[in-house]
Amino acid sequence: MGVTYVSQWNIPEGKNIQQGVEELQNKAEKLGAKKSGLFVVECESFHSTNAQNLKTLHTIHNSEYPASRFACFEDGSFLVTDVMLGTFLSKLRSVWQPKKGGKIESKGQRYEFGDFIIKIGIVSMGPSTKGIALELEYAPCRFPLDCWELMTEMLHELIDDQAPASLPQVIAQKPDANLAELTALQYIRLFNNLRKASMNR
Amino acid sequence: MYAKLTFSMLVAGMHPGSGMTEQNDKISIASLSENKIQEISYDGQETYFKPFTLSESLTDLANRINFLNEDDNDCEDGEEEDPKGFHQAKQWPWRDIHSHLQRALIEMNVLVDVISITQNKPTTLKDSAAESSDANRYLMYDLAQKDSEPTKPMLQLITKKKCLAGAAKILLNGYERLNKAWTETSGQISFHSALLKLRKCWRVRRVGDKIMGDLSYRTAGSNFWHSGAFEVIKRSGDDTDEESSYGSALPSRLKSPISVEVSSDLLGYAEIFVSVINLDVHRDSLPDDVSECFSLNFHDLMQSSVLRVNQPPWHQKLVNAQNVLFCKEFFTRLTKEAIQLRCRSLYSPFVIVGDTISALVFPHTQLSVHLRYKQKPLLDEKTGNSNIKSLFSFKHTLLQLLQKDHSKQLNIPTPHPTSAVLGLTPEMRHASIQPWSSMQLDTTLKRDDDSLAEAMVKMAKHYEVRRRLAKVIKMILNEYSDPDIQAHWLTLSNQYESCVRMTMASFGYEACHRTVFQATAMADKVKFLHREGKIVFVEVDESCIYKYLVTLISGHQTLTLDKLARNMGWNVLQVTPRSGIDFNSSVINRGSLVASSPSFDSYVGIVCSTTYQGTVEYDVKVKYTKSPENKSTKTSKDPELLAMQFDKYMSIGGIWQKVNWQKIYGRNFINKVETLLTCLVNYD
Repeated sequence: MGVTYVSQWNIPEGKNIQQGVEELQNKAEKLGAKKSGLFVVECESFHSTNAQNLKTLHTIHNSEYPASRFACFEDGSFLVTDVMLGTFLSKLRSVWQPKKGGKIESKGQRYEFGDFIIKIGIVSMGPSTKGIALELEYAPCRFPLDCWELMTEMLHELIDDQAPASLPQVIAQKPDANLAELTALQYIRLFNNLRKASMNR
Repeated sequence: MYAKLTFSMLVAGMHPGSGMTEQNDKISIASLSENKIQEISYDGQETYFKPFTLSESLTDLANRINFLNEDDNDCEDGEEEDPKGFHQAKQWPWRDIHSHLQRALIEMNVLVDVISITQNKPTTLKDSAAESSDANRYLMYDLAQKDSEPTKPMLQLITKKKCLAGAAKILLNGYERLNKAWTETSGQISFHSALLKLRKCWRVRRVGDKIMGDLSYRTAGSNFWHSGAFEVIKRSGDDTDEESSYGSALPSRLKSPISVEVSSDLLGYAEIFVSVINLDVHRDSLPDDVSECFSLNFHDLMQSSVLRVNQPPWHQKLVNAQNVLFCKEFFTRLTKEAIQLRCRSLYSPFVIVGDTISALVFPHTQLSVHLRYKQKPLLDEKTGNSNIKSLFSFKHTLLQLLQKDHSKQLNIPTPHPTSAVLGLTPEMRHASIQPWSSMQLDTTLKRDDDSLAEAMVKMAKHYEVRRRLAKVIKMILNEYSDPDIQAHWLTLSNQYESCVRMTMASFGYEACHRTVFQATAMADKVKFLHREGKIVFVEVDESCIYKYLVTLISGHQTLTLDKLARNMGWNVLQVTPRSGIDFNSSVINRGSLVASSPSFDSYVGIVCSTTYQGTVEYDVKVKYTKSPENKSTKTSKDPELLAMQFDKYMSIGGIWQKVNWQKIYGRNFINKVETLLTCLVNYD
């Protein structure tokens, strides 16, 4: 229930994804973080059958909020529902059809380090893996602007070279939004980037 | 005969454009006959009415003229004559009906009047004048004139007396009848009335030719194996063998014609006895022994002997049996949980011996639950033990938990909206839309999950912790009078936590500095919450709590001194409320303060330290810098030049001297320090 920061972690040259994940995990464990289970963040995209409407609808299932499902458009509208969202959307098949891209998910280990929660996940679309996603959550704070410096420090510890310079756009645009919404939007952005990157190849 | 040809004309008219018109149909037209048919004979011959001859038509017209009407119409306009004549002509066919109705109305009115008179109905109209002018009334009352008779008071009195006597006789008759009836019925309680009484309190059914009842808590949701069945037997004659154990001869109206048979394992009296015992070997008597003896029964009527007398014997028997059943259920439930529970918070696991469950919750504290089952009532034994303090929270919580469990079997919260998942609480249903993270869900689910044994263990631990905290606070209050310490126990507490709010302030210097903190006694630790937001968890050991409180006292003194010195204008050079080092190794904490007077004449150094024995020691030293000896020592060594030129060097030097603390005037430590400071400033 805290401020989260999600980003992709670029694997150093010469290593494959598995090794990259291990490297990150070793770093986290050296800091003193303890394993506390697995996490999953899944995203399914839908596009409307109505040709005029070009918006895509993304649904997110985050294991951090096990009783809820999230649905959002990229331009901002955000909805929190319970677990029946999937069946509900399947009933609306005439309006919203699943995109051919399929499901993207980030799966991996969850570490707890004091008040921080570190999630290192492998992003995969079906059988193919796309990259590594890192999520850092500072649980006690609910206002991103207040604890951004603290999080940057922590990120420097973890991923020194790839730490962000400034507040990510998502948070900067809507600092007062629901925390779950910020997480979901960041993940969607990440997944879209990875999809585009894989398509460009 | 020419038939009426309207139909055929219509038919012809309906096919204007069809080809049929080309056939030249013959159309014969004849007018309707003027004369009405009087009779049609059997051979089809029609007989018509003869048309009116002139004279006959004249008479007919004359008959139609209403001569009466014409009298009234003479004064009216001639213009209206025509429409009036028209009106009359129009009314003509309805005239008969109109007259019939009028006659019927008159007759109905008469009937209504007759009936209202026979029934002596009061008039609906306001005054009799209106009544007599009402066109619809045909029969009415009229007051009869009567001559007034001379009054005879004696006669009146006698008549009144007679009438009253007659009325009284009727009432007395009625009363006597009722009285007789009541004494008859209450004298011998019939089987059926007693059965009715029984049915008001207990569930009874007829099974074949027996009458069986149910005294278990099945319908409340209990799943206990015992069926709790009893049988109602009709008693004939005077059997005095089955009287209640209270022995003495009951008045005959309590000897009921029914008696009740319960199963043999529910006979007797049962009670649950829960105690939290302090097994301290040093004490011979156990003043802190806390016990709660309760029978976990809704029928507390057993306790009061007054109500006992009026109850029929079967009621008491059933109540006792139900109590026994409840105690049994509770105890088996507790035993089952105690066996299965792997409670890490217990110091020693549950030991179940016969009808006692006991466990050590702390090294010297034992929680024991004992099911007492006797043939005789247990009430007499309880009054002797004066050490028993009642723990209401134990009884209430355990009862509540058991009831909640029972009701969960029966009640499922209805989902709003009706299509939602069944069985979730509204809180859970909203959890998904909040959204709640997994941590929040975990804490909520854990919170509601207490089983009976866990709840009891937690309550016992909490009780013990609270007792210890209270004891330590009392000790501190007795020993330390210097800072005034006040402790207020908050009413905001539940069965697992309670809070005490403590304030430390020196008398007279409350505005100067006050230390406020809140101590919460929880099941396995004591939490201290300070005003500046610091939270400290302390072990439940008494000496630990004592030492912590003592360190708080010395810290309070140091901080108060700091504020005091500042208030008095002194320069505080250094203040350290907590430093872990000291030259003396028997000190836990050393708080120190060094302050100089406003003109830097003198310096004061105060040390408040807490020793391992749990005492606070004060050490106050003073250093004079501009003392005459100081001046003289300086001037003797240095030439006058230096001393006169550099006055600022005069404030260096001097030796620390210990203050004779006993001789200083002051009520408490802070007061004395204030006196000291005041004196030092005036020096010069």
